[in-house]
Formats: sequence, structure tokens, C-alpha cells
Amino acid sequence: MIDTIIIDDEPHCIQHLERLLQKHAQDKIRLLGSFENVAQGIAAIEALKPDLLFLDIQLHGQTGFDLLQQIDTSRLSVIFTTAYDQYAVQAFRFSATDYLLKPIDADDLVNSLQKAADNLIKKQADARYELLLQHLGHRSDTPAKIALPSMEGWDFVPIAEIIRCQAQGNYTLFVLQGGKQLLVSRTLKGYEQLLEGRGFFRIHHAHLINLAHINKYHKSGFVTLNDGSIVEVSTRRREAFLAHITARSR
Amino acid sequence: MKQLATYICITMACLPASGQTLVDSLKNKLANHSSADTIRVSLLLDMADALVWNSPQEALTYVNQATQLTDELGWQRGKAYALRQEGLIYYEQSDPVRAMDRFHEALKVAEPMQDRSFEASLYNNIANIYSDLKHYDKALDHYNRLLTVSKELHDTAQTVIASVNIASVYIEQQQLSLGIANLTEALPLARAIGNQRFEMAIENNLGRALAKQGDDELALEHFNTCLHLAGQLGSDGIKANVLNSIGEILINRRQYAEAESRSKEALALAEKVGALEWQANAWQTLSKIHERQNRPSEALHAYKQFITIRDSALNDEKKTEIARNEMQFALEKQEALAASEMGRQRAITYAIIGIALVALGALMAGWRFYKHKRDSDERKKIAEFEALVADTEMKALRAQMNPHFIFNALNAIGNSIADKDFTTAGDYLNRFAKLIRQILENSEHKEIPLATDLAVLEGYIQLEAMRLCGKFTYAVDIAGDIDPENTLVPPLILQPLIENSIWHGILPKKDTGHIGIRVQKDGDSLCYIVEDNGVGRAPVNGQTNTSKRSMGIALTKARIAIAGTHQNKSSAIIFDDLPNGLAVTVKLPLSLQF
Repeated sequence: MIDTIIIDDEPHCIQHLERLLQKHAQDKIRLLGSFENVAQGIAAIEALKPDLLFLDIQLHGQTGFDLLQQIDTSRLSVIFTTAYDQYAVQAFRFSATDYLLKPIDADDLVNSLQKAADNLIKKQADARYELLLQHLGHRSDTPAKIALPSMEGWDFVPIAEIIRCQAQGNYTLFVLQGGKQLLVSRTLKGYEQLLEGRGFFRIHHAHLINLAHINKYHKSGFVTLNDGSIVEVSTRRREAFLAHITARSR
Repeated sequence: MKQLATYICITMACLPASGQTLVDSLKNKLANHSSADTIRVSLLLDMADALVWNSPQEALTYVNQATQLTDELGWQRGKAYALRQEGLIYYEQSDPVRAMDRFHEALKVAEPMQDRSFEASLYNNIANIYSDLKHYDKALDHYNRLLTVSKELHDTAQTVIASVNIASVYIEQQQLSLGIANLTEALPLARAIGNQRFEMAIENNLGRALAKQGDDELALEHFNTCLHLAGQLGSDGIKANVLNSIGEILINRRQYAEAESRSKEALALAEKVGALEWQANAWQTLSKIHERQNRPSEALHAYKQFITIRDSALNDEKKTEIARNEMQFALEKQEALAASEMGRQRAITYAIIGIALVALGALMAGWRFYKHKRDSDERKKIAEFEALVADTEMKALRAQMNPHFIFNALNAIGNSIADKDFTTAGDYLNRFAKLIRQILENSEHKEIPLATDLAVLEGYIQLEAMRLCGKFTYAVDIAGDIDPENTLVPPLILQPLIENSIWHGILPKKDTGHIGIRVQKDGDSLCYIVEDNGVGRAPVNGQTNTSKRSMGIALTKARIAIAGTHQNKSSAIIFDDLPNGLAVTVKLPLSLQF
């Protein structure tokens, strides 16, 4: 059984989650209690020592991240819940942190609980929370990284060191500085959405490149990147691509 | 016969009586004061001054040392003094060209110093040269400057010098009374400051002028005073000059013996000082005397002497004449040089004006270019701004779509709750939340992949189908030549059309209906065809269906039109009434992502 607590400032959200847990995970989850603010939550975590925590982001003017910074996360799986917070969702995705969007969908919940049961959520949790907080703007002393899922867990890659990403079916190949490559079992489209605001541009159906690593643009429709690789810019993307790089260099 | 020589022009440098002792004392001081400072410069210049008459070459070396030192020290005043001293040396060496040059140079250096007394002394020196050149106007001009400045500064010595020299010029020009007046004015001043050399010069000049006027008595008086002073000062040259002048007057008085003795004395003194001119004068006077005394052989001898010496004196004078011509030439050359310098300056001025004009032209051209660029930048900015406004408007339209749909969906959920089917309501709500999330995310983008858009659309249709419990079926058919991942469409263009088909086409219908959605390519266009087998647009129960359809359709029409203009391609929405139902065709410019 997984000892679980819920921290959320809206009683109806707590009730909704409690009902879902009862319906879909009665045999796996033991709910120890539900709490409505950061202080109560911290006290409960220290007293009850749960295995799993459902943590809302907005908590009466404070945030779940404030709580996260004050607890020991090494023995605790945290699943964030949020209604609609694109900023936070971006940070979750960069740090491969688990989250559920409210109103919580039963299928998504079951999926997350399975990960908690497999101890996947706890794996490298400290490093990922560190990255999460960094992306939320709480920390800016280290270069921004992205957590890329691997066979063993996650690889934390500085975004600036990604030269390009290449679609390979449902996988994405990350080509990094120093010749290193990582194959990740997610689609390129997802990473395009994530990295768009970070100086990346999709120049081709199969290619997402880091504009910081462009060495040369050939008018015939190719870019040479810093690692020497030559990547095609598809005809339809050229205009937008040129507009983008000239706007950046202005 | 050279006239001016008989009048003494007073120069600034006045040789002290005890010349040699002064030189020795200065040599001593120089030996003791070896540091290179302004005091040494003064000593060097004093030394040069003391040596002007006796040893001009040596004087020149001292001046040169002084000049070098002032240059090293950067002492402008000292340099001006040194230049003046150098000029004086040249003047005394009968090199008026160089003298003039140095005096002018000194004036130039002295200008910033604003030392009027020093400038005045230079005016005197320059005037003396003009006087020698018989440029009396210029000479008078400079003497008068000297006089004005001297009076202003209450410098009596200089006032005397100016007056005496002005008088000399007047006398030279036969304006005797003016000359005598000036001299008479100067005499008490010279006495007042106790300068016997000045006094002597004035007495001599007065005597000469009066004698010329025929006032022998008075002339004799002044000559005698001058003689007395010359004796006191040991000036043999002046003595010889005056004695001979007295001799001339004595001839007029027929005191031949007296006259002879004076002239012989003058001759002896003139020989002693080696002044040929005065020797010649003396011989001439003697010849006259002997003639009057009826001593023809002696008169002849004296006359021969006079001619011989005069010729050699004339030679000297010829030399001076040549020098004068040379000087004239040099001055003209200087003037020509000055003129050419002025020409050069003018050329430089023109060049500067020319360059300024070119620069101005370039500036204007640059400004025009800048303005042109600025204007085009401005136009570009305006265009960008307008594009932004259009974008924002589009975004607003996309967002406006949402509430319209949201309220319809909320109605559906409300219906389920009213039916007390809470599980369905919950399920419905979750699906609805997911859908809203997707719609919100998509509304941020002008265009999204067709696959994404159709997924959202299906989510919507499923919600409606769920609510209406199998009231209709639907099918989505994408033509094989379309890649839904790579085809871009404006989000949710079809939603209002489908909504219309469901609510106003199928719902009023008694049995189940079907909605078919086809996506196909038509040349450069992408065609959506939404077909239903509902009640169509024909009037139902006496009222037309069209008014109810208007809201979402109007927005969609606007969006389709904008999508067309955005790519400068055609776009259209066409309604076809079918025998059963309605077919709506939306034509958009085909847009591919890659």
C-alpha cells in the first residue's frame, strides 16, 4: 500500500481526487489525510511520513514549490496538480516532473499511480526538483537544463549544449556538443513545443535546431551547424526561418 | 651730399660712457652666473648691447647665445629682446634689411606680451630705417606711434627720442620751423632727465636747422653748447661735425682765421675718428676759406682733398645707395612674399570654404539618406504594427469562438445533471475540460496541423454525440494526398459549421442523422466539406433557419476571409442546399508546414 496525502486549498478538488482514488486505486492507496495549506502540509509530511504526495500549485497565496523547498524529497513521490498554469506545465515538462491537470482524468491518474508504484517518481527526484525550481525562476545560477528520459532514468542536459534534434519515428535523437547523442522515446513535436521559446527553430519536418549553434546559412536551403553537420531547411520554412534569425540578430 | 648724417638720429641703444669697464664687469658676471636662466639671458643681451659699437661680431655671438637660451627656456619676452638687439647690431652694421626683419620679428613675438613700451622702442628702430630709406611718411608714422605711446607711459626719454627723430624728418623735408619747434620742445625734457647725449644731439640738430634758416647767431649759440657737451662726453665725431658747422657760419661772418682754425680742428678730429664724410666737409670748408683768403694754391689743394675724399666717401655712399636699393628690393620681395602669403592664405580660405561646402553637401546627402531610411523604417514599423494589429484581431476572433462554444457545452453538461446522470456528467466534464485546454492552447497559434485540429474537432463531436445519445453518426474522411501532420489550418474553423449542422440540421430531425466531414485538395486550395442530412435551410414550422445560424457563421466567414487575404490567395465559404440537408464548402489556401 502506498501511504498518501493530498495538499490542496480547494475542498471540492480534494473531494474529487479522493473519489477518484477510491474508485480506481482502492487496493493500492492508503489515504492518510488531506490538508489545505503549506504549514499544515509540512507538519503532516513530517508526522505521517507518506510515500506519495498530491500537491496543488496554488495554496492560499503560497505555492506547492514553497512547500517542496522545505521538505525532504528523497523518500517521497510528489505528483503536482494544477488547473491551468502553462508556465508551471513548461517547467514540469523541462524537469520531467509528474503532474496532473485538473479536473483530473481517471486514465491520467492511474498512469501516474503506476509510476509511483514502480518508484519511478522518486528516481533522481532531487535533481529534477532542482531543475524544476530553476525553470520556475527560483534559481538562475546554473545553466538551464532539460531532463531527457533514458533507459536508466533521466539525463540532465544543458539546453545550450543541444545542437539539434532529429525526428526518428516516435523517437527523437538529440545531438549534443562534443559529439554526444541521446535517443529519447518522445516525438520531436513535443520537444519543439518545449524548446521553441528557448532559441530553437523547427527548420524541417525532421529537424529542430538550436539557433545559437548555426554557423552558416546557405541560400540553397541548408544550414551548417557548429558541429559541422549540414541540415536541410525545408522550402516552406525558409521565409519564416530567415525572418526569425534576422529578428533575433536585430 | 648726404644730409641726414649731419643730424643725429638717436637709437635706443645708448653706449655708456665707460664702455670697456661695463664689458669687463658683464664678463665677470657671466662667468659667475652659468645657470641657464632668464638672468643669464639678460646678462648676455646687456653684453651684446655694450659691444654693439666696438665689436659688433662679438655682440652677435652673445645675442645668438641669448636667442638659443630663450628658445630652450621658452621665454618669449627674452626672445623678443634678443631679436631687437640683433636688429640693432645689423642696423649699426648697415644691414638695414636684416635689421628690419629682426625688428618685425620682435614685434610679432612681443605682440602677446602687450608690452607697449617695448613695442614703442621697436617702432623707433623701424622708423630710423624708413628714415634712412627716405620713406618719410612711414618714418613719421612710426615715430608718431612711439611719441604717442611714450607720452601715455610718461616715458620722458622715449618722448625725447621721438621728438628729436620727428624733427630730423621734418628738417630733412625742409620743413624747418616744424623741426625747430619739435627740437625746442624736446630740449628741456632732455635736460630734465639729465641725458647729456640727448641734449648734445638736440643742440646739434637745432644749430643745423637754424643755420639753414639763416639764423647764424642763434645757430652758433646751440653749436657752442653742443661743442661743450661733446667735449664733456668725449664724442669726437660730433665735435668734428659741430666745429665744421661753426666754421661755415664764421665764413659767412668773414672771420676766416677763426673759421680756418675750427675747420682744421674738425678735420683733425674727423681724421682721428676716420669719418671720411666729415673730413670731406672740413676740406670743403677749408677750400672756401682759402678762396676767400685769396690763397688759391691752398684752396686748390683743399678742394682736391675735398674731391678725393668726397669721391671715396661717395663710394661709401654709393655702397649705401646700393644697399638701399638692395634693401628696397628685399622689402619689395618681402612684400611680394607677404602678398603671396596672403594669396596662399586666401587659397587656404577658399579651400576651407570648398571643403566646408563639400562636407555640407555630404551632410545634406547623408541627412536625406538618413531621412529616407528613417521614413522607410517608419513605414516598415507601421506595416509591422498593422500586421500585429491584424494578428491580435485574429487572436481575439479565435478567443471569441470559445465562449460561444463553451456555453453550448455547459448547456449540455447542465442537461446531463438535470437528468441526474452524474457519472455521465463527470465524464462529460472531464472531456470538456480537456477539450477547452486544447482549444485554449491552439488559439495561441495562427495555424496548427490539420491532425491536431481534427482531433479537437472530434473531441467536440464526441461530446455532442454523447449528449445526444446516438442521435447522429459522423465520419471524417481525409483525402490520401493530404498529410494531416504537415498541413496547416486555422484552428477550429469548422467547429461552428458542425455545431450548426448538429443543432439546427440534425436536432430538429425526427430520426438519426449523419455528418460527413471531408478534407481534400483542390489545386492550391484546401477544401473542407461539411455535409449533413438534416432539415436544411428550408423554413421549418414557418420560420427560417438562417437567423439562428448567424453568430458562429459570421465569425467563421470573417476568419476565412482574413486567412485568404493573409496569403493573398482566394478563400471562400459556399453553402449548398441539398435535397436533404446542407453542404458547406470551406476553401482555404493550402498551407504546408514543411
